[in-house]
Amino acid sequence: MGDREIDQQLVERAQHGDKHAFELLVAKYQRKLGRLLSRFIRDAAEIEDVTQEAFIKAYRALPSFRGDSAFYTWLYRIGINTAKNYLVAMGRRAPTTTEFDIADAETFENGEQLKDVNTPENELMSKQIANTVNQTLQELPDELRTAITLREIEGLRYEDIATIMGCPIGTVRSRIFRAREAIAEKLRPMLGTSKDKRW
Amino acid sequence: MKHDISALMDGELEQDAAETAIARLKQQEELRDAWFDYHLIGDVMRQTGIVSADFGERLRGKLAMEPVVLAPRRPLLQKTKIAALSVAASLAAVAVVAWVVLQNNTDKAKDNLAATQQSNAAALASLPRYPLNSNVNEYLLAHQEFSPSTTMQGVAPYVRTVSDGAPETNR
Amino acid sequence: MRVLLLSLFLAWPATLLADSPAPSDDVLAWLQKIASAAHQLNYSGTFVYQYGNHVETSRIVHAVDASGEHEKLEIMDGLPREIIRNNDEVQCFLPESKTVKVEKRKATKAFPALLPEYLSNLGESYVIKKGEQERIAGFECQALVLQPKDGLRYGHRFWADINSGLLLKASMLDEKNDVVEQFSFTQLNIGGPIDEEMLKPKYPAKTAGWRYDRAGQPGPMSTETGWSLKSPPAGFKKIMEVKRMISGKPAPISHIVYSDGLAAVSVFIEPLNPGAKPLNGLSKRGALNIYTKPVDEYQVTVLGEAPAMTVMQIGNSVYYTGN
Repeated sequence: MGDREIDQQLVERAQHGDKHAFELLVAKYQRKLGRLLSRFIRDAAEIEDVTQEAFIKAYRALPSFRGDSAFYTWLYRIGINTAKNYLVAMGRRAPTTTEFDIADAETFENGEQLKDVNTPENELMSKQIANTVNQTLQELPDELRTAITLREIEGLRYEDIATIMGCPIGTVRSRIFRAREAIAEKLRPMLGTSKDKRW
Repeated sequence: MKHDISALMDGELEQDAAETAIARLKQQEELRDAWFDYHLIGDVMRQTGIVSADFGERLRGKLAMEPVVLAPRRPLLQKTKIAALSVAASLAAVAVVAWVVLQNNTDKAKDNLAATQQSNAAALASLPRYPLNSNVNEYLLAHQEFSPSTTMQGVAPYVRTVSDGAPETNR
Repeated sequence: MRVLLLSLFLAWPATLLADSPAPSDDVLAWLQKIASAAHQLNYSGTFVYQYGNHVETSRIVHAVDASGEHEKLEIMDGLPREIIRNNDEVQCFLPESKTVKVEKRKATKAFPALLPEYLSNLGESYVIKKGEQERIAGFECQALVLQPKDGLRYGHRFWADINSGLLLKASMLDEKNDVVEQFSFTQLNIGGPIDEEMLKPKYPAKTAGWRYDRAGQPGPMSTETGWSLKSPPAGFKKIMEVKRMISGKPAPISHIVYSDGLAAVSVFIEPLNPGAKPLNGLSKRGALNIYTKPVDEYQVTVLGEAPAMTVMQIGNSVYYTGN
C-alpha cells in the first residue's frame, strides 16, 4: 500500500469517527506544514498557532474531502488559506498564491521567505534532537546508515535500495527499521514518555 | 509490530498487512509512539524543522473539543493490487556504500552548532550532515570546466565549491 | 577569441537546422544562444543559489575585451569567497585559510561542453519543450523545459532573456518534480562597459602573503588513462579523458568526464596513499552528488550534477583496461 493510500486509509477512519487516525496524520505532517507556513508568517509562536488552526480546520472539513487529490495537497491548501486569512486579520499583506506552486511549496523553500521557525525554547531542543539524531546516525553500522539515508534523503523505494546495496528487499526493510529504532531509542528520553507528551 | 510500522510509513507493506498495521496503530500506544518517532527522525534528517514539545498535546486538547466528524457513507476505495515485490538479484562486486566521517583537517575547531550568519536561515542548527572530503574543491574546480552548466552560466556554478577544509554545513 | 566565438555561433544554425526544424531544434538554438550570451556579453548582477533550505547570494561580473574573457563571482553569504577567471586561469580565493587555489583550464575549444554534436544527443535523454514567457528581474524571458526520460538525470528548466539570451534563472528537478537546485538573478545589468575594478579580488592575497595552491606545470598530458566504465548509464557519453595535475595533489590523476549533453559527471582516479584509509561514501550538495570508493590500489571519486544512483552506478562500473 503506497504512501497516498495510507493517508487515504487514515482519512477514512477519521471520517468515520476515529480521532486517533487524524492524530497520526498530524504526527506525520505537523512539521512539514509548519515549515510551509513559515514562508508566510514570521513569528515562531504564531506559526504554531496557525498550524494548529489549520489542522483543526482540516479536521472540520474532513467530511468534504473526497480523495480527488492527495491528502497533504488538500491539507497544504487549507494551511495556506488559514495563514493568509490570519495575515489579513492582523492587517498584514498576504502574498498572492499565484506566486507558489503547491507542489513546489511542500519541499522547496523560496529563499527570501525563509524564516527562523524556532522560538528560543525550541532552539535548544531542536539542537539537542538534531545532535542526537546525527550522532546516532554516525555511530550506526554502515549498512544501516546507508539504508535509512537512501530512504529518507533520497526517497528511494525499497526495491531500488536493494539494487543499490546488493541485498534482498527484506534486508533493506530490516536495516531501515533497525536504524530507526536505534535512533528512536536515544530520542525517547528527550521526548518524554508517550503518556505525557505525545498522545 | 514496530517493524511493520516502519515499512508501513514507507508505503512498502502489502494491502492486508498494511490494513492490519493501521488497525493495530489504533490499539497500541507503543506503535503510535513508533509512528511519531520515525516520522520525526525523517524530518530531522531532512531538516524540516520541529515544533514545540507540547504541540501535540495542545492540538489534542483542541481536537477533543471538536464534535466528532462523520462523513456520509461512501463506497470503499478500490483496493489496488500490489505487485509482488521482486527481490533484487544479488550483484557481484557492488560495494556497500559506507559513510565515513572525515577528519576536519583545519586547525580551527568548528563549532558545529553555531547559528548561521543569516538571520533568515533555516530552523535547525547547522550540523555537518554529510561531511565532504576536504579535497572536494579541487575536484569541483576540475569538473566545472567541463560541465555544461559552466558553458551556459559562466562562472556562476562555481558557487558550488565549498570553502576549503571545513566540512560542509547545511544552513 | 572573439572572432572564434562569433563564427562558432554563426556556423551552428546551418548544421542543425538544415532539415525541417522540429520544435526541439528551436530549444537547442536557444541553448546555444544562452551559451553565447554567457561568454560574449558584458553583464553584472546579483543572483541567489538555493538547494534544500540552503540559500546563498552572490554577485557576478562578466566582461569581454581585447585581452579576452574575465569574470568574477563573489559569494556573499556563509563563508565568503571569491572566484575570478581570466581566460583559462581560475583563481579561488579562500579567506578562511588564506589560500588561493589556482586552476588552469585545459580545454582549447571555446565551448567544450555544448558543441552541436552533444546538443543533438540531448533528445536521447530529454523531452525538450518550450515553456511560457515570464518576467524575471525585469527581463522578459523565454522558458525552456528539458524533461528527463529516466531517473538517471535531473530535469532542467531555463529562463533566458528574449533579447540577449542571457540566462536569468535555471532549476534542476528530481523525479518527483521537486526543485533540487536553483539559480536565479534578482538584479541584472546587461551590456555597457565594466569597470575593471569590479573584476579584481577584494583580498590582498599577494601582499598579505596568502598561500597559492597551483597544480604542477601542465605539460603535455596523456589523453589515455587506461580506465574505463563497464557500462555507462544510458545517454552518457565520454566527452573528455586526460591524465592531469590537480592543485593540491603531487601526482597526476586520471580525469574522465561523461555527459548526456546537459549533465556532466567526472570520474577521478588516483593511487591510494599507502597506509591511508580508502574513502568510501556518498555525499550530496544540492544537485551535486559525490561518490568515493576504492578500486584495488586506487581511489575513485565520482562527482556530478546527476542523481545519486547515476553517480554510484558510474563509480561501481569503473575498471582498469590494462593499457
